[in-house]
Amino acid sequence: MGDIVNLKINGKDYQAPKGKLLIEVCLENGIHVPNFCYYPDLTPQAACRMCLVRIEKMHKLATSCTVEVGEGMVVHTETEELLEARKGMLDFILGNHPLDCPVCDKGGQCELQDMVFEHGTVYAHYNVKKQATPEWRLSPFIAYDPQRCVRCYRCIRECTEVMDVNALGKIFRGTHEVIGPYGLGMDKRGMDKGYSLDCEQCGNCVEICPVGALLSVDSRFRSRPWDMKETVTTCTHCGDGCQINLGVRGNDYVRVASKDMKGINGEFLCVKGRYGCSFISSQERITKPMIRRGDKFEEVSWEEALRFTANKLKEISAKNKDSVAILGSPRLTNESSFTLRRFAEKGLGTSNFGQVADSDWDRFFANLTAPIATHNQVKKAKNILMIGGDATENHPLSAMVIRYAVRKHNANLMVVNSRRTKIARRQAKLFLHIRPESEAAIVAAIFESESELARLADLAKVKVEQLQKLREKVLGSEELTIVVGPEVQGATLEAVAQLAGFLNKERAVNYLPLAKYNNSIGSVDMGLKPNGHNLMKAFGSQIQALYLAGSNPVEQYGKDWENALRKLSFLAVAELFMTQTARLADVVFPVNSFAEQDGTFTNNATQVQRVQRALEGAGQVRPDWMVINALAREMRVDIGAKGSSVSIFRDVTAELASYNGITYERIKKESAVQTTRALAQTKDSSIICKDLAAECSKINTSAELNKTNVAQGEGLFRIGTMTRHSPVMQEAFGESKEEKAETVNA
Amino acid sequence: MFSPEIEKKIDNTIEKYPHKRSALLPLIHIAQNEQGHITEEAIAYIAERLDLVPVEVYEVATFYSMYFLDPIGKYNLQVCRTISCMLCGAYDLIEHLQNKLNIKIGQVTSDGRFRLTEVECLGSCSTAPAMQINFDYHENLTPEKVDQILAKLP
Ligand code: SF4
Ligand code: SF4
Ligand code: SF4
Ligand code: FES
Ligand code: FES
Repeated sequence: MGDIVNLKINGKDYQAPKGKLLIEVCLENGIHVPNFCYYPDLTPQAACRMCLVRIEKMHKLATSCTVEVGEGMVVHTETEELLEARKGMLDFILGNHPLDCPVCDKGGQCELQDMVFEHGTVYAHYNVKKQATPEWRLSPFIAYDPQRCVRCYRCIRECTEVMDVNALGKIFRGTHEVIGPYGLGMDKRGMDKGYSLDCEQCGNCVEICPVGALLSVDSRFRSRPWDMKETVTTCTHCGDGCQINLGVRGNDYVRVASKDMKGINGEFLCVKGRYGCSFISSQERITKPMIRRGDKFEEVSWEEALRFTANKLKEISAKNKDSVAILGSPRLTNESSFTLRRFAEKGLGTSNFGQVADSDWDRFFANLTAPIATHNQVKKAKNILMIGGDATENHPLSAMVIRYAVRKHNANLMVVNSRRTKIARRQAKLFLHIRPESEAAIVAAIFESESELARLADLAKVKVEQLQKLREKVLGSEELTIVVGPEVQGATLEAVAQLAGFLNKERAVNYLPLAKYNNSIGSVDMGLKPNGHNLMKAFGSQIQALYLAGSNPVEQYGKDWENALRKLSFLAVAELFMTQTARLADVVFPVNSFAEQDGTFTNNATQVQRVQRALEGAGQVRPDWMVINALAREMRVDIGAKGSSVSIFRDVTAELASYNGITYERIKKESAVQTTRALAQTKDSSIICKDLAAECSKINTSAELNKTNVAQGEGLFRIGTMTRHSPVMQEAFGESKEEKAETVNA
Repeated sequence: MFSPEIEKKIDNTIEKYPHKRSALLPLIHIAQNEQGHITEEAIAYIAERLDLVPVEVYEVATFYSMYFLDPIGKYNLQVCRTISCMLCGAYDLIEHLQNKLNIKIGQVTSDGRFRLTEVECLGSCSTAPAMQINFDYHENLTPEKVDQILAKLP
C-alpha cells in the first residue's frame, strides 16, 4: 500500500490508503452504507446494488463495494436520489420474498428486516404471484429456503474462498436461481438425493447468510433470537479455542452462533464447534453421584460418595502415598487442572499425577526458542513450515488461517507430512510426502550438514532435491512460522522447538503447536504432565487407587487400559457421561460440562480465554475443582482450596510466571490473552543432531508411503465421548450407521 | 470418455485459452453435441479437465438455455416468439405444433423425436415467423409449411 489519497465524503474530508474499497473506507469512518453482498475479506461481487453511491464526475451511480478510492474523489452516500435507488433495489429483492418472518429463525437478526426498517415503506411494484418454492434439506445440518434468498452469494464465496470446499453453486438463473450443491434440482435424474451437500458442514455459510435462507437444522424453530440467552464462551472441542456464542433457552441448549464476534476466530467455526455442543443438554448426562454395589451402580448423596472416596483414598494412601494416582485430562479447565495437581501434591503427597494424553507438549515448551504465534499472526505469515498435523481435519481454525495466508498474500507454505492432507494437496507450495513416522529425518536435514541430505532423504523416502529445497528455504527465510502437529513427539519435537534458536535470533520465527484438545496446553501448564500411559503400567502394583477426571481411556486406547484399570483396588471417575471407563469405577462423580461453569482454557496459541457459565447443570453436577475441594475437606487435608474459579485463577497467576498479570477482567476486555513464556537456551546443534540420529534410527525403512488422500471428515466427523451425545452429529456420523467407528475423546 | 477425435478437439480448445477454466463454455458444447445433452459423466469429465469441481460446471450448464441437462429428442424445434415473429403468427405456429405433436412447450414427444421450445429473436425478423430445428433455419412459416418440413425430416 503506502500511498494515501484524499477524498471527500458527504462534504467532509477523509484520507485512506489508495486502492481500498470505498465501502470499507465509509464503514470504517462510521458512514453507514447499506449492503448485502459486500463482506469483509470476500472478493467483491456487486450483486445486490444496495451500496450505491454517487461519485461526482461519474455518470452513473456506483457500487461502493467495487470502487477503489482514488485521489480527489467526491462521494455522496445520503441523498434523496440514492434513497430512491436503494428502495428500488429492495423492491427487486422483496419481489419474491415470502415475508414469513414470524416463522423464520432469522427473524429479529435479519439484515433484510433491518434494511426494510431503515428504508421505510417499500413500493412493492411487483404485483405478480410469488413463486413458492419448497425448502431443501441440503444435509443433516443445513437447510435452504430458496424463496428467502437474496442472492448475495456470500455463502458461495465463504465456501470457496474461506473454506476451500467449493460445495455450493448458483444453480439455474433469473427468478429460478437457487443456491445449492451439485445436482440440486435434478431430481429427474436421481441426483437430488436429499442429503447432497458433500462438504465440511461447518455452517459458516449459514452464519453469514444475511437472511433466513440458509438454516441450521439442529436449532430450527427452537427459539426466537430474543427468547434465548447468549453467552460468549470457548469451544470445548479442539485446541484452537474458538469463541462461540452459546444460546440457551430456559435451561436447554439451543444453538451455537458466531455472528459479529470479535474473538480469535471472528465468525469462523467448524462442524464440531457449531453443531457438536448440544451434548450439554443430553438426557444421558449423569446427574447424581454413584457408588458401585456389585455390578450395579447406586445413586447416592454427595456426602456419601465423598466420604466413601475419602476413606478409600486415606486407607490406600496410608501404606504408601504414591499408591494413589491422580489423572486429569486435556479437557478440564485450568482451574480444575490446577486444583487436581494441588490435591495430588499437597493433599495426597503422591508423585503419581498427570493426565491421560499422548503428546509431549511439556517437552516442547521446555525447549522453546521463539514465541508462539497467534492465529492472527499466522494470517500474516510469509513463510510457513508445517511439520505433521492435519489442521483441516483436527484444527480447523488453524487450517483456515493458514489458507488465509496463502490466499491473501501467497504465503510460501511448506508441508512435511506422512499423509496426503488437504492442505498439502491444495495450498502447499512444497510438499514433502514422507514415510510414516519419519519426521525426524526431515528435521535432521535442517540441522545437519548438506552432505547428509541424500541419506536423510532416503530415510524419509523423499527426493533429495525436494529436501534440499526445503532446507534452503528454511535456512534462508527471514521470517518463518513453524506449525507442528501432534504426531511429532519426543526428541524430534524438542528439535523442532530448538529450530528457531538454531536459525539465530536475528530472524522473526514463531511457532504454532497443534495441540489436540481444548486445554491440552493449559493442563500441561497447570502441571499435569501427559504421563498417563506410563502410570498405567503400574496400576495394580505400585499404584492401587486412581482418581480419574474427564478422560475416557478405555474408549480411546482400548483393552490395555481396560485391563490396567481392572487391576486397581479403587477407581473414582469424574465424568459427564457413563463412559466405558466410568463403568469400571467404584464411584462416579457427575461434573459440569464446559457450558455450566466458569473458568479458562489455554489454546494452542497459548492464549488464555474464558469459559463462562451459560446454563445451570442438571441434577447435582459440580465443577471438577469443587469435587476435589470437597474431597480434600472430607479427608481433612489442606490444599489451600479456593471457593471460586476466579480465586483459583488468581492462585494460578501467582504461581506460574507465564500467567502473571492475566486476570478475568483483562480477558474480558481483550477476549484472549497470550501467556508469555520464558525461552529456552539454544542447545549445541551437535547434541540435537545426536538426539535426532537416535530418532532416525527408529524409522522403519520398509514402511511404504501412505498414498491415500485424507478423506473429508476423517477427523472432523469422528464421533467421540461428547459429540456422540449431540443428536445432529450422531444422526449424521453416528456409529449406528457404520460399524463401530474409530472413536476419540472429542 | 470421448473418441480420440473429440478428445483432440477438446485438447485444442483448452489450449486456446490462457486460463483453463475459460474453455468451459466450448467444452460443454462439444460434450452436448456428442451426446445430445449434458450427462453427469460429461460434467465430471469437464470438471476434471479444467481443474474445476462439478458444481462449477453445473452452475454454468444450468444458467444457459442452450445447454440441455435432459435428453432433448432428435429434433429440437425452436420457435421464435419475439415481437416480429409474434406479430407474424408465431403463436399460431406454437399452438399448431403443440396440438400436432401433443406436447407442451419444453416437452419431448414420447418417441423422443421432437422437442418443442420457444426462443427469443433468432435474428431473422425480415423473414418472420422463423424457427430453428437443431442448427437449421426455416423462414416465412405457416402451419402448412411447418407440416411439410416435419414430414421431410429423416
Ligand atoms: S457448511 Fe461450510 S463447507 Fe458446507 S457449504 Fe457451508 S460453508 Fe461450505
Ligand atoms: S443463501 Fe443466504 S448467503 Fe447465500 S446467496 Fe442466498 S441470501 Fe446470500
Ligand atoms: S476449530 Fe476447534 S475450537 Fe474452533 S470450533 Fe472447531 S473444534 Fe472448536
Ligand atoms: S454491497 Fe455492493 S452491490 Fe451488494
Ligand atoms: S423476432 Fe423472430 S427472428 Fe427476430
